[in-house]
Amino acid sequence: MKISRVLAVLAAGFLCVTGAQAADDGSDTAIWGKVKNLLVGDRAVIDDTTGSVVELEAPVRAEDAAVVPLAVRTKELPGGVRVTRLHLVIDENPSPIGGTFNFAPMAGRADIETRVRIEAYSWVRALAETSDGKIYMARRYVKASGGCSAPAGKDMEEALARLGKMKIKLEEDAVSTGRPNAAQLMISHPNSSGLAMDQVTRLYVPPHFVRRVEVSYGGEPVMSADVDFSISENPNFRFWFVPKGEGELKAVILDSKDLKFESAVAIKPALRGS
Amino acid sequence: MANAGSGEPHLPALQVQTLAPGVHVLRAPGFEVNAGNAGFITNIGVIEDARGLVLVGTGTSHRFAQHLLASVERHFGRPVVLAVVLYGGGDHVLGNGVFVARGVPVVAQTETDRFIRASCHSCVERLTAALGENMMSSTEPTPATVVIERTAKLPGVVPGLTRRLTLIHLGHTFQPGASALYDEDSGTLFAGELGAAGYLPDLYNALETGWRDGLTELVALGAKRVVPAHGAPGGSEVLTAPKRYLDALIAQTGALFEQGVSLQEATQSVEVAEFRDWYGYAVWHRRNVHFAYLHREQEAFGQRSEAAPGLKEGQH
Repeated sequence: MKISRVLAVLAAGFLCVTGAQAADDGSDTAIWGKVKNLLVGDRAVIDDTTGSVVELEAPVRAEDAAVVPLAVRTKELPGGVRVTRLHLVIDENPSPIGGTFNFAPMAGRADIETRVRIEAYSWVRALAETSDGKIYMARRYVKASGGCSAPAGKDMEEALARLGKMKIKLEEDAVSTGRPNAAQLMISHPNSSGLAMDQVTRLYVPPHFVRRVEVSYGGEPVMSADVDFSISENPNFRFWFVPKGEGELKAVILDSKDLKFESAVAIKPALRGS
Repeated sequence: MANAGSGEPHLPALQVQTLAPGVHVLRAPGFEVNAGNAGFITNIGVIEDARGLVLVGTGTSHRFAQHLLASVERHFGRPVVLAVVLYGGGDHVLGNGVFVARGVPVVAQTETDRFIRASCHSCVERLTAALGENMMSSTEPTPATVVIERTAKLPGVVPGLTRRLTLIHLGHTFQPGASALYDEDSGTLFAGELGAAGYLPDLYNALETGWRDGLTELVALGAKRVVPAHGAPGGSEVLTAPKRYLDALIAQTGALFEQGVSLQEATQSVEVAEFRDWYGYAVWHRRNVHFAYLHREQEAFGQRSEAAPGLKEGQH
Protein backbone atom coordinates (compact mmCIF):
# COMPACT_ATOMS: atom_id res chain seq x y z
CA MET A 1 0.00 0.00 0.00
CA LYS A 2 1.40 3.40 -0.91
CA ILE A 3 2.31 5.63 1.99
CA SER A 4 -0.21 8.30 0.99
CA ARG A 5 -2.93 5.65 0.95
CA VAL A 6 -1.87 4.49 4.41
CA LEU A 7 -2.09 8.06 5.66
CA ALA A 8 -5.57 8.48 4.22
CA VAL A 9 -6.83 5.21 5.71
CA LEU A 10 -5.40 6.08 9.10
CA ALA A 11 -6.82 9.59 9.03
CA ALA A 12 -10.29 8.23 8.30
CA GLY A 13 -10.04 5.42 10.81
CA PHE A 14 -8.63 7.32 13.75
CA LEU A 15 -10.87 10.34 13.61
CA CYS A 16 -13.28 8.24 15.63
CA VAL A 17 -10.75 6.86 18.11
CA THR A 18 -10.92 8.65 21.41
CA GLY A 19 -9.87 8.11 24.95
CA ALA A 20 -7.12 5.60 24.28
CA GLN A 21 -5.09 5.00 27.41
CA ALA A 22 -1.34 5.42 27.29
CA ALA A 23 0.76 2.81 29.02
CA ASP A 24 3.10 4.38 31.51
CA ASP A 25 6.06 3.97 29.21
CA GLY A 26 4.12 4.42 25.97
CA SER A 27 5.16 1.04 24.63
CA ASP A 28 1.72 -0.43 24.00
CA THR A 29 -1.04 2.14 23.70
CA ALA A 30 -4.15 0.99 21.89
CA ILE A 31 -3.67 3.48 19.09
CA TRP A 32 -0.02 2.61 18.68
CA GLY A 33 -0.93 -1.04 18.23
CA LYS A 34 -3.20 -0.15 15.32
CA VAL A 35 -0.81 2.33 13.76
CA LYS A 36 2.09 -0.08 13.98
CA ASN A 37 0.08 -2.80 12.32
CA LEU A 38 -0.85 -0.59 9.38
CA LEU A 39 2.54 1.08 9.11
CA VAL A 40 4.99 -1.81 9.40
CA GLY A 41 2.78 -4.88 9.73
CA ASP A 42 4.16 -7.64 11.92
CA ARG A 43 7.78 -6.55 11.60
CA ALA A 44 9.50 -6.18 14.94
CA VAL A 45 10.03 -2.67 16.24
CA ILE A 46 13.14 -2.31 18.39
CA ASP A 47 12.58 0.02 21.31
CA ASP A 48 15.66 2.23 21.05
CA THR A 49 15.62 3.61 24.57
CA THR A 50 19.34 4.43 24.51
CA GLY A 51 19.32 6.33 21.23
CA SER A 52 21.75 3.96 19.57
CA VAL A 53 20.08 4.49 16.17
CA VAL A 54 17.40 7.13 16.54
CA GLU A 55 16.72 9.96 18.98
CA LEU A 56 13.66 12.15 19.25
CA GLU A 57 13.86 15.63 20.73
CA ALA A 58 10.57 17.12 21.81
CA PRO A 59 9.49 19.48 24.57
CA VAL A 60 7.95 17.86 27.64
CA ARG A 61 5.35 20.62 27.67
CA ALA A 62 4.76 22.51 24.44
CA GLU A 63 4.76 26.31 24.39
CA ASP A 64 2.16 26.21 21.64
CA ALA A 65 0.23 23.05 20.75
CA ALA A 66 -0.18 24.25 17.17
CA VAL A 67 3.58 24.55 16.64
CA VAL A 68 5.52 21.91 18.54
CA PRO A 69 9.12 21.59 17.36
CA LEU A 70 10.41 18.05 16.91
CA ALA A 71 13.88 16.89 15.94
CA VAL A 72 14.70 13.34 14.87
CA ARG A 73 18.39 12.52 14.81
CA THR A 74 19.90 9.28 13.60
CA LYS A 75 23.32 7.74 14.14
CA GLU A 76 25.90 6.55 11.66
CA LEU A 77 25.68 2.77 11.55
CA PRO A 78 28.45 0.27 10.86
CA GLY A 79 28.72 -1.94 7.79
CA GLY A 80 27.27 0.52 5.30
CA VAL A 81 23.85 0.25 6.89
CA ARG A 82 21.91 3.50 6.80
CA VAL A 83 18.55 4.85 7.85
CA THR A 84 16.35 5.05 4.75
CA ARG A 85 13.01 6.11 6.20
CA LEU A 86 11.58 7.88 9.24
CA HIS A 87 7.99 7.89 10.41
CA LEU A 88 6.57 10.44 12.85
CA VAL A 89 3.62 9.17 14.87
CA ILE A 90 1.51 11.24 17.28
CA ASP A 91 -0.75 8.75 19.02
CA GLU A 92 -3.58 11.03 20.05
CA ASN A 93 -3.85 13.12 16.89
CA PRO A 94 -6.90 12.69 14.63
CA SER A 95 -4.47 11.45 12.02
CA PRO A 96 -1.71 9.79 14.06
CA ILE A 97 0.91 9.49 11.32
CA GLY A 98 2.32 12.98 10.96
CA GLY A 99 4.69 12.08 8.19
CA THR A 100 6.91 9.56 6.50
CA PHE A 101 10.30 10.79 5.30
CA ASN A 102 12.42 8.92 2.78
CA PHE A 103 16.14 9.60 2.57
CA ALA A 104 18.31 8.96 -0.47
CA PRO A 105 22.06 8.41 -0.05
CA MET A 106 22.56 12.04 -1.10
CA ALA A 107 20.93 13.12 2.15
CA GLY A 108 24.05 12.04 4.02
CA ARG A 109 22.21 12.11 7.32
CA ALA A 110 18.69 10.84 7.84
CA ASP A 111 17.79 13.62 10.27
CA ILE A 112 14.72 15.78 10.12
CA GLU A 113 13.43 18.71 12.15
CA THR A 114 9.90 19.95 11.76
CA ARG A 115 6.96 21.34 13.75
CA VAL A 116 3.72 19.53 14.42
CA ARG A 117 0.28 20.08 15.83
CA ILE A 118 -0.66 18.03 18.87
CA GLU A 119 -4.32 17.67 19.70
CA ALA A 120 -4.05 16.00 23.11
CA TYR A 121 -1.40 14.88 25.58
CA SER A 122 0.30 12.19 23.59
CA TRP A 123 3.15 9.85 23.01
CA VAL A 124 5.14 11.02 20.02
CA ARG A 125 7.20 8.41 18.20
CA ALA A 126 9.98 8.43 15.64
CA LEU A 127 10.47 5.17 13.78
CA ALA A 128 13.66 4.64 11.79
CA GLU A 129 13.79 1.98 9.10
CA THR A 130 17.31 0.89 8.17
CA SER A 131 18.65 -0.53 4.92
CA ASP A 132 19.11 -3.94 6.59
CA GLY A 133 15.39 -4.18 7.23
CA LYS A 134 15.27 -3.27 10.91
CA ILE A 135 13.00 -0.75 12.58
CA TYR A 136 13.97 1.29 15.63
CA MET A 137 11.71 3.52 17.68
CA ALA A 138 12.30 6.51 19.98
CA ARG A 139 9.42 8.11 21.84
CA ARG A 140 8.62 11.07 24.03
CA TYR A 141 5.50 12.06 25.93
CA VAL A 142 4.44 15.60 25.06
CA LYS A 143 1.95 17.67 27.02
CA ALA A 144 0.01 19.80 24.57
CA SER A 145 -3.62 20.06 23.58
CA GLY A 146 -5.84 21.64 20.96
CA GLY A 147 -3.16 22.01 18.30
CA CYS A 148 -5.11 20.47 15.42
CA SER A 149 -8.25 22.48 16.12
CA ALA A 150 -6.50 25.78 16.90
CA PRO A 151 -7.36 28.64 14.56
CA ALA A 152 -4.69 29.66 12.08
CA GLY A 153 -2.32 32.29 13.40
CA LYS A 154 -2.72 34.70 10.51
CA ASP A 155 -5.80 35.86 8.75
CA MET A 156 -6.67 33.46 5.98
CA GLU A 157 -6.67 36.12 3.27
CA GLU A 158 -3.07 36.97 4.02
CA ALA A 159 -2.11 33.31 4.29
CA LEU A 160 -3.63 32.49 0.92
CA ALA A 161 -1.90 35.48 -0.71
CA ARG A 162 1.40 33.85 0.21
CA LEU A 163 0.26 30.31 -0.48
CA GLY A 164 3.07 28.09 -1.69
CA LYS A 165 5.86 30.61 -1.36
CA MET A 166 9.02 28.85 -0.24
CA LYS A 167 12.44 29.71 1.08
CA ILE A 168 15.41 27.42 1.15
CA LYS A 169 17.88 28.54 3.75
CA LEU A 170 21.38 27.15 3.98
CA GLU A 171 22.63 26.80 7.48
CA GLU A 172 26.28 27.51 6.93
CA ASP A 173 28.14 30.33 5.23
CA ALA A 174 29.90 27.93 2.89
CA VAL A 175 28.49 24.74 1.44
CA SER A 176 31.07 21.97 1.22
CA THR A 177 31.22 19.06 -1.15
CA GLY A 178 31.40 15.50 0.01
CA ARG A 179 29.90 16.02 3.44
CA PRO A 180 26.41 16.64 4.81
CA ASN A 181 25.25 20.26 4.82
CA ALA A 182 22.15 21.42 6.66
CA ALA A 183 19.33 23.22 4.88
CA GLN A 184 15.94 24.48 5.93
CA LEU A 185 12.84 24.49 3.76
CA MET A 186 10.23 27.04 4.82
CA ILE A 187 6.82 26.87 3.15
CA SER A 188 4.12 29.49 3.46
CA HIS A 189 0.94 27.46 3.62
CA PRO A 190 -1.94 27.48 6.16
CA ASN A 191 -1.87 23.68 6.26
CA SER A 192 -5.47 23.82 7.41
CA SER A 193 -6.55 20.72 9.27
CA GLY A 194 -10.26 21.05 8.62
CA LEU A 195 -10.79 20.81 12.37
CA ALA A 196 -10.48 24.51 13.21
CA MET A 197 -13.64 26.57 13.53
CA ASP A 198 -13.80 30.22 12.56
CA GLN A 199 -15.17 31.60 15.82
CA VAL A 200 -16.97 34.48 14.13
CA THR A 201 -18.66 32.63 11.27
CA ARG A 202 -18.91 29.36 13.28
CA LEU A 203 -17.88 27.54 10.10
CA TYR A 204 -15.03 25.07 9.86
CA VAL A 205 -12.12 26.11 7.68
CA PRO A 206 -11.89 23.43 4.96
CA PRO A 207 -8.85 21.14 5.03
CA HIS A 208 -6.03 22.28 2.80
CA PHE A 209 -2.58 20.99 3.58
CA VAL A 210 0.77 20.03 2.10
CA ARG A 211 0.80 16.30 1.44
CA ARG A 212 4.03 15.69 -0.46
CA VAL A 213 7.49 17.23 -0.33
CA GLU A 214 10.33 16.31 -2.67
CA VAL A 215 13.84 17.68 -2.41
CA SER A 216 16.52 17.04 -5.00
CA TYR A 217 20.03 18.20 -5.70
CA GLY A 218 21.29 18.37 -9.27
CA GLY A 219 18.24 16.37 -10.31
CA GLU A 220 19.02 13.52 -7.88
CA PRO A 221 16.66 12.81 -4.98
CA VAL A 222 17.71 13.89 -1.49
CA MET A 223 14.60 13.54 0.63
CA SER A 224 10.89 13.09 0.11
CA ALA A 225 8.05 13.19 2.57
CA ASP A 226 4.39 12.23 2.73
CA VAL A 227 2.85 14.49 5.33
CA ASP A 228 -0.54 15.74 6.45
CA PHE A 229 -2.23 18.32 8.64
CA SER A 230 -0.36 17.19 11.72
CA ILE A 231 2.43 19.34 10.32
CA SER A 232 2.01 22.92 11.58
CA GLU A 233 0.89 25.96 9.64
CA ASN A 234 3.77 27.20 7.45
CA PRO A 235 5.51 23.83 7.26
CA ASN A 236 9.19 23.89 8.04
CA PHE A 237 11.71 21.11 7.45
CA ARG A 238 15.36 21.04 8.33
CA PHE A 239 17.29 18.32 6.53
CA TRP A 240 20.75 17.46 5.19
CA PHE A 241 22.25 17.01 1.75
CA VAL A 242 25.65 16.09 0.31
CA PRO A 243 26.51 18.13 -2.78
CA LYS A 244 28.96 16.53 -5.18
CA GLY A 245 29.57 19.73 -7.12
CA GLU A 246 27.69 22.75 -8.41
CA GLY A 247 23.99 22.16 -8.65
CA GLU A 248 20.53 23.24 -7.78
CA LEU A 249 18.85 22.37 -4.50
CA LYS A 250 15.21 22.14 -5.44
CA ALA A 251 12.01 21.60 -3.49
CA VAL A 252 8.67 20.62 -5.00
CA ILE A 253 5.54 20.43 -2.90
CA LEU A 254 2.08 19.17 -3.68
CA ASP A 255 -0.90 20.02 -1.52
CA SER A 256 -4.27 18.43 -0.88
CA LYS A 257 -5.86 20.50 -3.63
CA ASP A 258 -3.25 19.19 -6.06
CA LEU A 259 -1.58 22.58 -6.21
CA LYS A 260 2.12 22.24 -7.02
CA PHE A 261 4.80 24.70 -5.93
CA GLU A 262 8.53 24.75 -6.62
CA SER A 263 11.54 26.60 -5.36
CA ALA A 264 15.24 26.19 -5.97
CA VAL A 265 18.55 27.66 -4.97
CA ALA A 266 21.78 27.44 -6.95
CA ILE A 267 24.65 26.04 -4.96
CA LYS A 268 28.31 26.62 -5.62
CA PRO A 269 30.17 24.61 -3.04
CA ALA A 270 32.38 26.75 -0.83
CA LEU A 271 30.12 29.71 -1.67
CA ARG A 272 27.05 30.69 0.27
CA GLY A 273 23.71 30.05 -1.41
CA SER A 274 21.12 32.82 -1.58
CA MET B 1 -16.40 50.36 49.20
CA ALA B 2 -18.63 47.65 50.78
CA ASN B 3 -18.54 43.97 49.99
CA ALA B 4 -21.46 41.82 48.86
CA GLY B 5 -23.77 40.33 51.44
CA SER B 6 -23.45 36.85 52.94
CA GLY B 7 -24.71 33.85 50.99
CA GLU B 8 -23.35 35.25 47.73
CA PRO B 9 -19.98 34.38 46.21
CA HIS B 10 -17.22 36.46 47.72
CA LEU B 11 -16.69 39.75 45.93
CA PRO B 12 -13.67 41.84 46.85
CA ALA B 13 -13.93 45.32 48.25
CA LEU B 14 -13.00 47.89 45.59
CA GLN B 15 -10.50 50.44 46.84
CA VAL B 16 -10.49 53.80 45.11
CA GLN B 17 -7.08 55.36 44.50
CA THR B 18 -7.24 58.92 43.23
CA LEU B 19 -4.56 59.75 40.67
CA ALA B 20 -5.60 63.26 39.66
CA PRO B 21 -8.67 65.45 40.03
CA GLY B 22 -11.54 63.39 38.62
CA VAL B 23 -9.32 60.45 37.75
CA HIS B 24 -9.22 57.30 39.86
CA VAL B 25 -8.25 53.67 39.67
CA LEU B 26 -9.65 50.61 41.38
CA ARG B 27 -6.45 48.68 41.93
CA ALA B 28 -6.64 44.93 41.36
CA PRO B 29 -5.29 43.15 44.43
CA GLY B 30 -3.08 40.67 42.52
CA PHE B 31 -2.18 39.03 39.23
CA GLU B 32 -3.64 35.59 39.69
CA VAL B 33 -7.30 34.64 39.39
CA ASN B 34 -8.68 32.98 42.50
CA ALA B 35 -11.90 32.72 44.44
CA GLY B 36 -10.70 35.31 46.91
CA ASN B 37 -10.46 38.06 44.30
CA ALA B 38 -13.38 36.88 42.12
CA GLY B 39 -11.09 37.22 39.11
CA PHE B 40 -10.39 40.90 39.81
CA ILE B 41 -6.84 41.00 38.43
CA THR B 42 -7.11 44.02 36.15
CA ASN B 43 -7.12 47.65 37.22
CA ILE B 44 -10.32 49.52 36.46
CA GLY B 45 -10.26 53.23 35.71
CA VAL B 46 -12.87 55.70 36.87
CA ILE B 47 -13.03 59.12 35.19
CA GLU B 48 -15.50 61.77 36.25
CA ASP B 49 -17.32 63.59 33.49
CA ALA B 50 -20.05 66.22 33.61
CA ARG B 51 -22.92 63.74 33.32
CA GLY B 52 -21.43 60.91 35.32
CA LEU B 53 -18.67 58.33 35.45
CA VAL B 54 -16.64 56.75 32.67
CA LEU B 55 -15.27 53.31 33.55
CA VAL B 56 -12.23 51.80 31.88
CA GLY B 57 -12.96 48.08 31.94
CA THR B 58 -16.13 46.25 32.90
CA GLY B 59 -14.73 43.46 35.06
CA THR B 60 -14.58 39.71 34.99
CA SER B 61 -18.17 38.55 35.18
CA HIS B 62 -21.82 39.53 35.21
CA ARG B 63 -21.85 39.31 38.99
CA PHE B 64 -18.64 41.31 39.38
CA ALA B 65 -19.92 44.01 37.00
CA GLN B 66 -23.08 44.40 39.09
CA HIS B 67 -20.87 44.76 42.16
CA LEU B 68 -18.64 47.24 40.29
CA LEU B 69 -21.51 49.44 39.14
CA ALA B 70 -23.17 49.47 42.53
CA SER B 71 -19.90 50.19 44.32
CA VAL B 72 -18.71 53.10 42.19
CA GLU B 73 -22.13 54.72 41.96
CA ARG B 74 -22.51 54.51 45.72
CA HIS B 75 -18.98 55.78 46.35
CA PHE B 76 -19.13 58.73 43.94
CA GLY B 77 -22.86 59.36 44.17
CA ARG B 78 -23.08 59.61 40.40
CA PRO B 79 -24.24 57.28 37.61
CA VAL B 80 -21.97 55.41 35.25
CA VAL B 81 -22.59 56.82 31.77
CA LEU B 82 -19.93 55.13 29.66
CA ALA B 83 -17.57 52.15 29.67
CA VAL B 84 -14.45 51.85 27.53
CA VAL B 85 -12.72 48.53 27.00
CA LEU B 86 -9.14 48.52 25.75
CA TYR B 87 -8.54 44.90 24.73
CA GLY B 88 -10.23 41.53 24.55
CA GLY B 89 -9.49 39.85 27.85
CA GLY B 90 -12.00 38.04 30.00
CA ASP B 91 -10.88 39.95 33.09
CA HIS B 92 -11.54 43.24 31.30
CA VAL B 93 -14.69 42.78 29.18
CA LEU B 94 -16.91 40.04 30.57
CA GLY B 95 -18.95 42.57 32.52
CA ASN B 96 -20.02 44.29 29.28
CA GLY B 97 -23.45 42.67 29.35
CA VAL B 98 -24.45 44.38 32.58
CA PHE B 99 -23.60 47.82 31.18
CA VAL B 100 -25.33 47.18 27.87
CA ALA B 101 -28.45 45.91 29.66
CA ARG B 102 -28.56 49.18 31.61
CA GLY B 103 -28.22 51.22 28.45
CA VAL B 104 -24.67 52.32 29.21
CA PRO B 105 -22.66 52.53 25.98
CA VAL B 106 -19.59 50.29 25.78
CA VAL B 107 -16.82 51.57 23.49
CA ALA B 108 -14.17 49.36 21.88
CA GLN B 109 -11.86 49.37 18.89
CA THR B 110 -13.18 47.30 15.95
CA GLU B 111 -10.70 44.47 16.35
CA THR B 112 -11.24 44.28 20.09
CA ASP B 113 -14.95 43.98 19.45
CA ARG B 114 -14.24 41.21 16.95
CA PHE B 115 -12.00 39.49 19.47
CA ILE B 116 -14.76 39.57 22.07
CA ARG B 117 -17.18 37.95 19.63
CA ALA B 118 -14.68 35.35 18.44
CA SER B 119 -12.70 34.35 21.49
CA CYS B 120 -14.32 35.32 24.77
CA HIS B 121 -16.43 32.18 25.03
CA SER B 122 -13.25 30.35 25.94
CA CYS B 123 -12.51 33.06 28.54
CA VAL B 124 -15.84 32.28 30.19
CA GLU B 125 -14.99 28.59 30.24
CA ARG B 126 -11.57 29.20 31.79
CA LEU B 127 -12.91 31.60 34.40
CA THR B 128 -15.78 29.27 35.25
CA ALA B 129 -13.25 26.51 35.85
CA ALA B 130 -11.31 28.83 38.16
CA LEU B 131 -14.13 30.68 39.93
CA GLY B 132 -17.06 28.29 39.78
CA GLU B 133 -20.47 28.33 38.11
CA ASN B 134 -22.04 30.51 40.76
CA MET B 135 -19.61 33.39 40.37
CA MET B 136 -19.77 33.23 36.57
CA SER B 137 -23.52 32.69 36.23
CA SER B 138 -25.24 34.85 33.58
CA THR B 139 -21.86 35.85 32.15
CA GLU B 140 -21.88 35.96 28.36
CA PRO B 141 -19.43 37.66 26.02
CA THR B 142 -21.18 40.86 24.97
CA PRO B 143 -19.97 42.98 22.07
CA ALA B 144 -19.40 46.71 22.36
CA THR B 145 -22.18 49.09 21.39
CA VAL B 146 -19.89 51.82 20.01
CA VAL B 147 -17.11 50.58 17.75
CA ILE B 148 -14.19 52.76 16.70
CA GLU B 149 -11.73 51.82 13.98
CA ARG B 150 -9.02 54.43 14.41
CA THR B 151 -7.69 56.78 17.05
CA ALA B 152 -10.61 59.03 17.97
CA LYS B 153 -11.63 61.73 20.45
CA LEU B 154 -14.57 60.23 22.28
CA PRO B 155 -16.62 63.45 22.71
CA GLY B 156 -17.06 63.38 18.94
CA VAL B 157 -18.32 59.84 19.07
CA VAL B 158 -20.25 59.51 22.32
CA PRO B 159 -23.12 62.02 22.68
CA GLY B 160 -23.03 64.06 25.86
CA LEU B 161 -19.41 63.33 26.75
CA THR B 162 -17.42 66.46 27.47
CA ARG B 163 -14.16 65.24 28.95
CA ARG B 164 -11.31 65.24 26.43
CA LEU B 165 -10.78 61.51 26.18
CA THR B 166 -8.97 59.96 23.22
CA LEU B 167 -9.08 56.28 22.35
CA ILE B 168 -5.70 55.49 20.84
CA HIS B 169 -5.21 52.56 18.51
CA LEU B 170 -1.68 51.88 17.27
CA GLY B 171 -2.27 48.84 15.10
CA HIS B 172 -1.51 45.26 16.05
CA THR B 173 0.29 45.42 19.39
CA PHE B 174 -0.75 43.28 22.37
CA GLN B 175 -3.70 42.25 20.24
CA PRO B 176 -4.92 43.54 16.87
CA GLY B 177 -7.34 45.88 18.63
CA ALA B 178 -5.44 46.73 21.81
CA SER B 179 -5.91 50.39 22.65
CA ALA B 180 -5.12 53.04 25.24
CA LEU B 181 -7.30 55.83 26.63
CA TYR B 182 -5.77 59.26 27.17
CA ASP B 183 -7.34 61.90 29.39
CA GLU B 184 -5.93 65.21 28.19
CA ASP B 185 -7.24 67.20 31.14
CA SER B 186 -5.20 65.30 33.69
CA GLY B 187 -2.48 63.87 31.45
CA THR B 188 -3.42 60.35 32.48
CA LEU B 189 -2.95 57.46 30.10
CA PHE B 190 -4.86 54.24 30.70
CA ALA B 191 -2.51 51.98 28.79
CA GLY B 192 -4.36 48.70 29.30
CA GLU B 193 -2.19 45.73 28.35
CA LEU B 194 0.18 47.97 26.39
CA GLY B 195 1.78 49.16 29.62
CA ALA B 196 3.26 46.90 32.24
CA ALA B 197 4.49 47.10 35.82
CA GLY B 198 5.81 43.88 37.26
CA TYR B 199 3.74 41.84 34.83
CA LEU B 200 5.52 40.44 31.79
CA PRO B 201 4.16 41.30 28.33
CA ASP B 202 2.37 38.29 26.88
CA LEU B 203 2.77 37.76 23.13
CA TYR B 204 0.07 35.10 22.76
CA ASN B 205 -1.98 37.29 20.39
CA ALA B 206 0.61 40.01 19.91
CA LEU B 207 2.83 41.42 17.23
CA GLU B 208 5.91 42.33 19.22
CA THR B 209 7.37 44.78 16.69
CA GLY B 210 4.08 46.66 16.49
CA TRP B 211 3.83 46.69 20.27
CA ARG B 212 7.37 48.05 20.63
CA ASP B 213 6.70 50.79 18.07
CA GLY B 214 3.39 51.60 19.70
CA LEU B 215 5.12 52.05 23.04
CA THR B 216 7.53 54.50 21.44
CA GLU B 217 4.55 56.56 20.29
CA LEU B 218 2.87 56.42 23.66
CA VAL B 219 6.05 57.55 25.44
CA ALA B 220 6.20 60.52 23.05
CA LEU B 221 2.73 61.50 24.21
CA GLY B 222 4.34 62.67 27.46
CA ALA B 223 1.58 61.49 29.80
CA LYS B 224 2.06 62.54 33.43
CA ARG B 225 0.89 59.21 34.74
CA VAL B 226 0.29 55.82 33.19
CA VAL B 227 -2.09 53.13 34.41
CA PRO B 228 -1.32 49.59 33.23
CA ALA B 229 -3.85 46.76 33.15
CA HIS B 230 -1.84 44.96 35.82
CA GLY B 231 0.37 46.41 38.54
CA ALA B 232 0.93 49.81 39.99
CA PRO B 233 0.24 53.05 38.12
CA GLY B 234 3.36 55.13 37.56
CA GLY B 235 5.05 57.39 35.08
CA SER B 236 6.67 56.72 31.75
CA GLU B 237 8.44 53.65 33.16
CA VAL B 238 5.16 51.78 32.77
CA LEU B 239 5.78 52.15 29.04
CA THR B 240 9.58 52.11 28.80
CA ALA B 241 10.06 48.95 30.86
CA PRO B 242 7.95 46.68 28.62
CA LYS B 243 9.58 48.35 25.62
CA ARG B 244 12.99 47.31 26.95
CA TYR B 245 11.75 43.75 27.31
CA LEU B 246 10.36 43.71 23.78
CA ASP B 247 13.51 45.32 22.36
CA ALA B 248 15.69 42.66 23.97
CA LEU B 249 13.37 39.83 22.96
CA ILE B 250 13.21 40.95 19.33
CA ALA B 251 16.95 41.55 19.08
CA GLN B 252 18.02 38.27 20.67
CA THR B 253 15.49 36.14 18.86
CA GLY B 254 16.27 37.79 15.52
CA ALA B 255 19.99 37.23 15.98
CA LEU B 256 19.49 33.55 16.77
CA PHE B 257 17.23 33.15 13.75
CA GLU B 258 19.87 34.73 11.53
CA GLN B 259 22.49 32.36 12.95
CA GLY B 260 20.35 29.39 11.95
CA VAL B 261 19.48 28.43 15.52
CA SER B 262 16.33 26.31 15.56
CA LEU B 263 13.03 27.27 17.14
CA GLN B 264 13.48 24.77 19.95
CA GLU B 265 17.01 25.94 20.70
CA ALA B 266 15.97 29.58 20.58
CA THR B 267 13.22 29.09 23.15
CA GLN B 268 15.81 27.62 25.50
CA SER B 269 18.41 30.33 24.88
CA VAL B 270 16.82 33.75 25.03
CA GLU B 271 16.86 35.35 28.47
CA VAL B 272 16.04 38.92 29.46
CA ALA B 273 17.49 38.92 32.95
CA GLU B 274 16.08 42.27 34.03
CA PHE B 275 12.57 40.84 33.92
CA ARG B 276 13.12 37.47 35.59
CA ASP B 277 11.33 38.68 38.70
CA TRP B 278 8.28 39.91 36.83
CA TYR B 279 5.10 37.93 37.14
CA GLY B 280 4.73 35.61 34.16
CA TYR B 281 8.40 35.28 33.26
CA ALA B 282 8.53 31.66 34.37
CA VAL B 283 5.25 30.87 32.65
CA TRP B 284 5.22 32.68 29.32
CA HIS B 285 8.65 34.14 28.56
CA ARG B 286 9.66 31.04 26.58
CA ARG B 287 6.33 31.12 24.80
CA ASN B 288 7.07 34.75 23.94
CA VAL B 289 10.36 33.67 22.37
CA HIS B 290 8.49 30.99 20.45
CA PHE B 291 6.10 33.51 18.90
CA ALA B 292 8.79 36.11 18.26
CA TYR B 293 10.82 33.48 16.41
CA LEU B 294 7.85 32.43 14.26
CA HIS B 295 7.07 36.04 13.44
CA ARG B 296 10.70 36.66 12.49
CA GLU B 297 10.58 33.63 10.27
CA GLN B 298 7.49 34.90 8.50
CA GLU B 299 9.23 38.18 7.77
CA ALA B 300 11.23 36.17 5.26
CA PHE B 301 8.05 36.00 3.20
CA GLY B 302 7.30 39.72 3.61
CA GLN B 303 5.10 41.21 6.27
CA ARG B 304 1.72 42.73 5.49
CA SER B 305 2.54 46.31 4.55
CA GLU B 306 -0.33 48.11 6.23
CA ALA B 307 0.49 51.55 7.58
CA ALA B 308 0.30 51.57 11.34
CA PRO B 309 -2.43 53.80 12.69
CA GLY B 310 -1.05 56.69 14.69
CA LEU B 311 -1.82 58.87 17.64
CA LYS B 312 -3.59 61.56 15.68
CA GLU B 313 -7.30 61.35 15.33
CA GLY B 314 -8.32 59.36 12.28
CA GLN B 315 -4.72 59.11 11.15
CA HIS B 316 -3.97 56.12 8.98
